Amino acid sequence: MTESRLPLQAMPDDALGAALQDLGRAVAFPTAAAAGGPDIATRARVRIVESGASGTGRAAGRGRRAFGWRPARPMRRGLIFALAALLILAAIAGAVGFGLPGLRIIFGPLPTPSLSPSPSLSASPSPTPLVPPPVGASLSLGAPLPLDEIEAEVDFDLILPPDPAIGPPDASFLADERVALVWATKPGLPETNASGIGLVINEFPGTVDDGFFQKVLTQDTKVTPVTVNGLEGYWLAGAPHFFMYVDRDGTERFDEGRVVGDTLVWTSGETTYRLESALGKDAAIQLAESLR
Amino acid sequence: MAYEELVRRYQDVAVRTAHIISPDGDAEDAVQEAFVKAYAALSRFRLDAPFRPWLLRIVANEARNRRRSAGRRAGLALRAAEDHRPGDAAPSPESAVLAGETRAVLLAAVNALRDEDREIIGARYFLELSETEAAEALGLPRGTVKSRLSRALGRLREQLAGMDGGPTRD
Repeated sequence: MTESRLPLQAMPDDALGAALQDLGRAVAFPTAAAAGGPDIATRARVRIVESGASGTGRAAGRGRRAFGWRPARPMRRGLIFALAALLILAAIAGAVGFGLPGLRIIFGPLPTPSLSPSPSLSASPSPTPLVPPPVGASLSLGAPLPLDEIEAEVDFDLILPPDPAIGPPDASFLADERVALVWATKPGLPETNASGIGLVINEFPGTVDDGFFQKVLTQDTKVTPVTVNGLEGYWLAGAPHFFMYVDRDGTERFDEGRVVGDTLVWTSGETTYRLESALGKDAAIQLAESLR
Repeated sequence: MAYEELVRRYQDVAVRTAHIISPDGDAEDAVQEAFVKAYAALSRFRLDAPFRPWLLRIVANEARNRRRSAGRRAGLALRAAEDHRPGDAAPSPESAVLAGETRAVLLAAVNALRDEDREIIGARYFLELSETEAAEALGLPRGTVKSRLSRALGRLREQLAGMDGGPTRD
């Protein structure tokens, strides 16, 4: 390089810039991950979770409601927030330019049990269980519970696909009030982005404020308004997204669960449903409309 | 947690940003605090804005808070030659543009600059942010990055001329 023979102060901007770039690679920067210890992202998560658990901030004034009674307004606000956050995060996925694979890359094709140990695994009575963990146990959807126990636990009616070809869910999970039903891949349920998973249906209390929703439908995240049995819903395709919700105490939380496929979201009465599959829009809506 | 996975993508550039802005502060602590604050501020994130510079701006502000309370000034330092980190495109000594001693002189000159000059040089050349990203991360008006950078390079030349060939002070 001829310019390296020039005295630095005589270099034009371009050459001095190149020298500074070279210098930058030789600067001793601290690292985000101390050897062997948790990295900064992990430590930040721990702090966020701890502050949420201790009921700080917005949750503080609210929390102590009679168990089982939920005022309509906070729940409505909560879901609005959840859906807005979902779109915001989908937009982040687009904005940082990951392209189509998007934030799915973040999660990767395999579960990362070190991040959030699955309750089903930690609750195993034996370190080498004879039965494999339930389908979807790696998706961090909540605590695995039999369907009848979940139905007794939540105060809304679960709806299920009546189609015998689909049958009952292969696994069911409960996280707070959020129910997740998981089906393994089978004929009619092609594999989603999660290996071996053909269908995930989430059901939880809440309503959609479509006026607000329309306002955030401005991005190139592929969000299509649809109807499910005449009810308003949204089809979120292509752009992977995170999901955020507000828990019983009003604390905003990221959904721990992985998003496994294109998503149909709709609301019926006071319950919101989220169906993830690799079925495509029309078949997903058809399946949604069949749920009983 | 999804947020954890999201910010993990940016934690390296974040910690470098904090270190450039506050070389003597605790960069890791600043970034951790910034990530917690960014989480709380997520609902204010604009849909049409890129995420990385938005996050870096929060990091930069945290680092500046720490800079004010830091007393002594050691500045940025060169890595030991054998010090390799994964993900670094560490050039071999043969392929390096600058000789080691030239680097030391140049870094001493950068360290002698005032904070705003070091920040813009660091953002553009050490972090390799675009002009737009640098403006957002450092909280500068978008159109001013080029001229600020040019003035910073001018003052860097003055520093270099002042220490021309002589021993560096740090």
